Order: sequence, then C-alpha cells, then structure tokens
Amino acid sequence: MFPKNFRSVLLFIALLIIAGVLLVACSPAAPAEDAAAPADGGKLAVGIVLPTKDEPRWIQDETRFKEALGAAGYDVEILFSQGDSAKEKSNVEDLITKGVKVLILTPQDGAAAAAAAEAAAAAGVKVIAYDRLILDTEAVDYYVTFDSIAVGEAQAQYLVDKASGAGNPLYLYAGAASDNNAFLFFQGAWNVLQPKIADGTFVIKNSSEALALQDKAELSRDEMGKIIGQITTNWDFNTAKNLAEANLTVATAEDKGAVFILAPNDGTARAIADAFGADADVSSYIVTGQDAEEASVQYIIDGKQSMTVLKDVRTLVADAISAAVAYLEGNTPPQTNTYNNGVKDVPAKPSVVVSVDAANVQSAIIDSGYWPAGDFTGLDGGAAMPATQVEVFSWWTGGGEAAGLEAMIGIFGAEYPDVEFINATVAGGAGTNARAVLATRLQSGDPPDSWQGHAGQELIGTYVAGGQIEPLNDLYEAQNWLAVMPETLIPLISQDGNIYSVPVNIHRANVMWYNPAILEANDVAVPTTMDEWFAAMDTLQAAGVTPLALGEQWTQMHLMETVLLGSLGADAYNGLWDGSTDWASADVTAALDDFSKVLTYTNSDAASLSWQDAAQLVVNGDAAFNVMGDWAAGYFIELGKEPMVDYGWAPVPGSVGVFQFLSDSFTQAVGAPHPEGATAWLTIAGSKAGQEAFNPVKGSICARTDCDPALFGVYLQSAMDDWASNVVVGSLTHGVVANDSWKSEIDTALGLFMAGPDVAAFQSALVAACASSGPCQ
Amino acid sequence: MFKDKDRYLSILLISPSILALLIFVYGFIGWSVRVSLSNWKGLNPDYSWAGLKNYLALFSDPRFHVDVRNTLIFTSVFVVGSILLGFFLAVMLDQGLKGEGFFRSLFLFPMAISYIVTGVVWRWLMNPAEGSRMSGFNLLFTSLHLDFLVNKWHTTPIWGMAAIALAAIWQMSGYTMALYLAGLRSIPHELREAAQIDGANEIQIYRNIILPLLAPVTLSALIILGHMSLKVFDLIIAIAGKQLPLDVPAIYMWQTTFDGLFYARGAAIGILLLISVAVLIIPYIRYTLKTETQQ
Repeated sequence: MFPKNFRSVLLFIALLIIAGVLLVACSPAAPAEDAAAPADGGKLAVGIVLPTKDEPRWIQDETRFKEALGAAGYDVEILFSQGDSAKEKSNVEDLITKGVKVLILTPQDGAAAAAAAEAAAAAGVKVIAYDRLILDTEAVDYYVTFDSIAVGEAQAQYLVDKASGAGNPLYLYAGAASDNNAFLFFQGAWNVLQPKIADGTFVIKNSSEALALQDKAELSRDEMGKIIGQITTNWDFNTAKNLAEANLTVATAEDKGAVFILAPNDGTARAIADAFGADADVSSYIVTGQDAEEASVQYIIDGKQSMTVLKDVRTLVADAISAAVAYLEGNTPPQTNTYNNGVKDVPAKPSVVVSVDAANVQSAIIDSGYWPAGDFTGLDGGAAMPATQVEVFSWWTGGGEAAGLEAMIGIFGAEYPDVEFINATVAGGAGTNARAVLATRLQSGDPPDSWQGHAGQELIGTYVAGGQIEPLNDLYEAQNWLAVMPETLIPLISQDGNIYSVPVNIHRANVMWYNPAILEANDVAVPTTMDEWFAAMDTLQAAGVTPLALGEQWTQMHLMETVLLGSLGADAYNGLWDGSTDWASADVTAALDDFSKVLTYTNSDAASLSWQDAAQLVVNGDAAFNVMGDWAAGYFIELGKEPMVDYGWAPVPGSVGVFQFLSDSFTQAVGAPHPEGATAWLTIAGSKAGQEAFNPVKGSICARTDCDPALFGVYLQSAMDDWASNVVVGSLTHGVVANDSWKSEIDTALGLFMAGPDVAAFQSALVAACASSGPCQ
Repeated sequence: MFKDKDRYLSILLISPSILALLIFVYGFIGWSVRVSLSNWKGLNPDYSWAGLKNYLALFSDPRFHVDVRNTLIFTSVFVVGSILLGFFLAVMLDQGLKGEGFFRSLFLFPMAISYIVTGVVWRWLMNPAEGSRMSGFNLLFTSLHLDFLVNKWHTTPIWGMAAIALAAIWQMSGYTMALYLAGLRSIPHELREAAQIDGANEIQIYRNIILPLLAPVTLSALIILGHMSLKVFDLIIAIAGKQLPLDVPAIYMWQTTFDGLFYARGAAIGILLLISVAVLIIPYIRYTLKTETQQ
C-alpha cells in the first residue's frame, strides 16, 4: 500500500509544479524586481534577501528556494543586497510593504542587519536568519544554519590528518570579520589545530597575533577578532589572492616547502591555492575549502584544492522553508540548539556537514546528485562513472510477484534516481521459459547484471558450477546482513563459504490448506500425522467429498516432497539431499508407499488443473485439502476469501514444527555490464525498505528477521513466527535442495510413476537419479 | 560472354542465401551432431567424446519409450484422421454444392490459427472434470444424454495422445481438403463421362479412376502431415503443459536441455527427430524434383 500512496503523492506534487508553472506562464506577471508585484493582493507570503549575486553560492540558493517554495505552493520574492547593508535594509522594507509574512534574511553584515530585522519585526513579520546570524537584536525568531563550528573543525581535522612529523608550515586565512560565521569557522578550526600547534606539528607562518596566542586553547571573541583582522579575506577572491601573495613574499624559502593552508571557503581557497601553486618554493600544499562550489569540485578532481566541506544547500533550503511554512501555519519550527547573537539565544536546528576530497568526491558530490557528473572533466573512469543502468532478469510478470517487484523498483528509483532500471522479464512456466532464455544469454556471453533464482542448489549447482555468478560476501559484510538474516539460510545459499545470492523473501512449501466447513460437516479434526490424515481422507471419501485437490505435474512433485518430509521427518529428509539417507532404504520405500496412497485420494482431473485451479477447489468447497506453498494465501485473498472461514492452514501432516522453505534471490553476474548497478540493486533487494515493500505485496515473508509484522496479513504473521522457531529444511520443487539436473531426473521418474504406479520402479529411478546427478556416487 | 556474365551474376545473387543456409541450417545440424556425441551436462560446454552413449541411453530410457509411443499414436490418428476427413469434405464440396466457396473457407479457416490458440480452446473443450465442474464436450454430451461419450480425453492413460490428435485433425483437415479438392478438379471430366458411358457406378468410378489419380495428392498430404506430427510441440504444451503421459520427443528435448541442463542428451533427441523427419521428407523431395525435371 505504502509505495502506491507514495507514488500518488509524488504525482500530486508533480501536478502542482506543472500547474504552478502554467500559472506563472499565463499570468501577466511583473518582472521579479518590480515593487508592484503582488497585484492580486497579499499573495506574497515569503520574502528572501540574500547577500550578493557575485558569489555562485547564493545563486544556487536562489534557484533552490524558487524550486522548493514553488512546490510548496507559496509565492516568494528573492532580492539581493549586492554586498551593501543599505541596499539590504531597503530590500527588507520593500518586502514589508509588499506584505510578506515571513522574512528569510542572510545578512551582509550581522550587526548592521539588526535594524532591518527590527523593522520587519515591528511590522509583525517573522524573521528567519538564513546561514548567517543577525547580531545584537531581539528581532530574530529562528536561525537556519549549518553547524559552523563543525565546518571549521572538519577543515582543521583534514589538515591534521594529512600532516606528519613536526614543524609543518601552516598558513591561516579567515572570512570577513563582519560575519559571525567567520568567527565560528575559525573557532572550530582553532579547537582542532591549537593542540597540534602547541605540540609543534604545525608552525604558524602568517599571523603574529595567532603565534602570540598559540598556547591558548579557548579564545575570546576579541582575541579571535585580532587574529582574523590579520588574516581576513573579507570573503573576497582578490583580497585573498593579494593577502596570500603578500604572505608568500614575506616568507622565506624555509617557511615554504610542503605547506598547510586553512582557507575558509572555496572561493578564497582557489585564489589562495593559485597563489601558492605559482610560488616556486612551495613544493606541495594542502588547502581546505567550504561550500563544494562547482569550480572547487573541479579543482579537487584536478588536485589543485585538497578538500571542501559540503553543506548541502538542499538541506538548508528545505529547513528554511519548513520553518517559514511552520510560521505561516501558526506553528513553531523545531529546535535542537540555540545560538547567542549577543542579545538573545536564537533557536536553531543546525544541519550536519560532510568533508569531501578526491577520495570521496564521486560518492559525496556526484552520486548524491549535488552536482551532475557532466559538469566536470577528469572524473576517474571506472570508479567514477555513474552506473547509468542495471538490467535485472526475472520471471515475475504477473500477480503479486510483478506488483512486489514494481514496489521494490520504486524504492530503487528513489534511492538511485540516476540508475535506469531495465526490467527484463520472461513470462511462463514458473520460470522454466525464463531460465531457457537466461541459459542462452549466458552461453553467448551476454549476461544481465542480476537475475532471479531460487536460493540454494538451483543457483549453486547451475551458475556457481558454471562460474557465472559472483560471491557477495563483501556486500553482506558492508550491509551487515548476516546479523539480520536467519542463520539457517546462509549455508543453503553458500558454497565453500561464499554467499552467492541475496534472498528477498521466504515462502513455505509444507502448508496443507483445508476447508473448515467441510471438515466440520464431516466431523474431521485437522490431521497432524500421516495416519490421522489417511483416516480423515477415508472418512471424507466415504462421504463423497474429494479429499485432496491436486494439479499438474509440478504440483505433484510439490506434494511428493512434503509427503517425503512428513513420512521421513526432517533429519532423514535432509539426508536425502546430502547423501546421508539412502534412497534405496526401506524408510524411503515406506514414504513412497505413503505418497502412492495419498494419490488415491486426489481428484481425477489433476493433470488438467493449474495450482490455482486445485487450490480453488478447497475454498470453493469442492475438495477438503490441498497441499501448496503459502503463495496460495495471496491467491485466496485475491479471490476475496476469509482466512479461517473459507480456508484454514496447518503444516502438512507429519511435518509439524518443520518449515520447508524456498526463497527467491538475486545474483550478481560475473562480467556484469554494470557492476555498480548490480550492487545498487542487490543493496535494495536486501534492505529492510526493499523487502518490506516487496513481501507484503507478493504474499511472502521477509528473508530478514527485522521486518515489521504489522505490514503482513494473518497467515504471514503466523509464518513469521514459525520461521523464527521451527526446524528449517529446503524444498525440492523450488530449487533449494537439488540442482537442476537432479531435479529434472526426479521429475521424469515422478512423471513415469504417475502414469503407471509402480513404487519399486519409481524408487530405483530415484536411486539412479541421485547417482547420476546428486551426491550418491 | 553474356552467358558467363549471367552465370556469375546469378551465383553472386544467390550466394547470401546459400551462405546463410550453410551456416544456419547445415552448420547447426553439424554442431548439434557434435554436441550429441559429447558429455555436455551443465551450463558450460563440455565437448569430450562420448560416442553413441547418449543415443544408446535414449533407447533404454523409459521416458523416451513413452515419447516414441505417443508420437506413433499421435501420427497415426492425426494423419489418418486428417486424410479421411479431408477427402470426405473434398468429395462433398466437389458435388457442385451451393455456397461452395463459403464452406471451403469455413473448413480452411482453422488452418489460419496457430496451434497455441487451438490448444487453449481445445484444452477447455476437452476438460475432463467431473460432476459440478464439468465443462466443454463432456457437459455437451451429458446435456444431450449421450453419457456414454463422456470421457477423460487427453488425461486417458496411454491413449490420451489420440485426444490431442483430434484437435490437430480439426485444424489440419481443411488443408487436406484443399489438397484433395485441387486434385479432384484436375481430373478431366471426360474420364468420368467415359467411365459412366462404360457403365461404371459411382463407387467404381471412385475406386478405379479417381482414387488412383489422387495417389500423388495422398502422398503429399501424408508426408506434409507426417512430418508436422513428428515435430508436434506447441499444441501439446497449450493443451496439457509438460506432463509425462503426453510427452513427445520435442518436449523431452526442451525440458532436458533447459530445465535439466543435459545438453548432450537434448542434442541427441534433436538429431533423432531430424532423422525421423528426413526419412519421410527426403524421398518425397527427390520424387518431386524428379517429376519437376521430367516436366
């Protein structure tokens, strides 16, 4: 249900955006700068004043504000102060006149903006300080910011991590002394750098004030002000370049070599890096940055800037807008911190920051969608090229399976919007058609990136033996799946300690469905042993009821494996598949006799019925029992039948306390055309979100043990309990215990047996099958 | 000069199709023969020499016995049924019936349908369910009080294959009819008249004049229907799915190759199928070519 709603919400938002665009396009809108914009009376709700168009950073913010507020359905006007506090104040007054309810203001100068904020507050406008705090005034209601101290700390930590030995030359630069953030950045950097300066790792080369204070762990604002006064860039490229060149002119060759530079943001970092890079005496430099501007990301890729601190503007914009919307709707935005602006503690909820260098530029900047890969040159080939698509091959073409797959693809699309999902499905025959196609593709060297297969020997015996699928142990470790998947499952999907597939779901094979009304009418209790079952079916047959509904040949094999399990018990049944139970033994003869006897209770037209037809006989009251996997529960729900009224369930007689399972799983192809895409898909397939999306729709339980039971129906909740507590064995028909060849030989033997019941011949054919394709050599 | 040029041009023009034929027909036949003589089992090719092992194993394989039996039943019922019904329809239409064109199209139409479609329809018609779930022919027979005709159709042990052949007869008898009708029309009217003047009755005319003259048509029909029935696959899959009582070599080949990964065995079945079809077809082609060159 959830993904469907989610999609309709997305659709709704998309329609809103389209409607918004149409409205803007159709209305005779005045130019954005025109003061007379809100002609239709007070529609303008949010005014935004940003510092300058000259820094790309703020143009980004402008774009993202427009997108986001448009989607939220509020009119917004964005003005720029162009580095002038007077312009800023007139902008604010402009917006007040136009009737904004909320003002989002990034002050050019924190103290000078107080007057503008007070004017707004006096007009009853809520003031949100965006990214820079407005100082010395009561008129600030909320502060949306990144944790600026953390930014400084991240920059300094990077320098510390790269430095070794003692006496490394350190050059410090800071932002504008008029900007409170400049102090916070520096404060954070000082917190980390000071101990390393004190112990001699670094030697400050360009600030006498800092040298004088280098043994002081905590600086007062005045002390910081003195240092910043010496090393300020005023947030300006040219100032930064001139200052760096001046520093380099003064410095001797010994003060250079391998240098470390604390640069406050990307723009200044590039200017400073250019200056240092041009100096012959500088052998190498490590320079920090901030904001992940495109030009700096390119510098990082080119090795000209060492790192930047990513403050995802999308987060900040979203937080500012949710704060604005909260005020517009009469609520209070969330608060986790306060920042003192000299007069009051301003409530805030700072966002976290990410350190980015050449090693993680791909994942942090490109893969996260912050900047598109196409904007950069020299991204590292294999590792850096984004996985543009992933082809996933399956036979899930109809019913709950296809719907479940769609739901999981939805989750995938949300997590990996850049990866195109190619849903390669082949219909028919419970996968036999698909596997014929897959075999052909594999032999011609054209594997899909990932394909569906029953967990267990079907995959291992065929594709591991053929060297066609990759071990996934690293993925399991990275995703910590071993902790959340059943212990008993892992050996069944492994060979020689290597795990080969990611199970998405668990189905139970040994389920006996029954019609409660028929049992009641004939005074028959739900049987739990083979003998009780035979007695019950005798009674029913005498009463003229078809005791057991059966379908085409594969359902006959399904019945056979559950009867073998019921007759032999879990241990001897498991032994059949690892070679420790002798297929020629008397126990197996007895089990086959039981199977032969069970067949005498079945409907005469079994060969012409699908499993659905056979299962339907039970819920329609035409037969008392049917043995089928628990996908039947989904089918019954689809038919509109009531659990415990129209149908009941119990383990197949003799197998109480045993869970005979099967599982659909996904692999990664050896030589997959898009290995990153395959890994991304498998990550989703094994994730809680992916499995919780897939299983309730498909009608199976999660392979993970941490799924929310509330998502599942009555039957599946009982299956989840059994899965956690029962002895677990694997299914033959559904590929867990026997490889394809062995299963096919058993299928032929069973078919011949069904045509002319001869238990002795059947048993010897089974013995021969185990010898030719199983472990009985 | 001209003649040589023509020759080269004609060779040039047919060479693509000859090349394609060499690769895609004879090349693959050769490759299948090679695989059938190997030990290939599993996804990865294994061309180690196995000699005739796979063929010998098939001859003692109980499933292959079932296949051969089923094929024989299907072929005989289908070929005989189609020829008899087709001949009967042709003779009827040949009587100068009113609306002949309509009936001719009517009888020919089933041939335009694919075996899959025929199979899906006949699967329902031949539903063997009993009691309240009865449907198709069985329901029809019961409501007409022809209860003795109610049967299990393709789920009948041993002879189930004959029921499948019924569907095939329905589909192909129109085609046989067309063959015979063309044959009948090509018999000169003077021959009949001469026989009538000589005092032959209708039965004698058919026995001694028409049937002998139709022998080449019967041979064509026999061979065309015969090789179709040897290769039957889709009709059975559509009616009954993959069930051993209705197994034929083509289904065994497919299942053992792609479900069981016994590639060598699958190839051996394929080659046996090819040989059995060739036994029918090659003499026919030689005969046709000979008569064509004589003409």
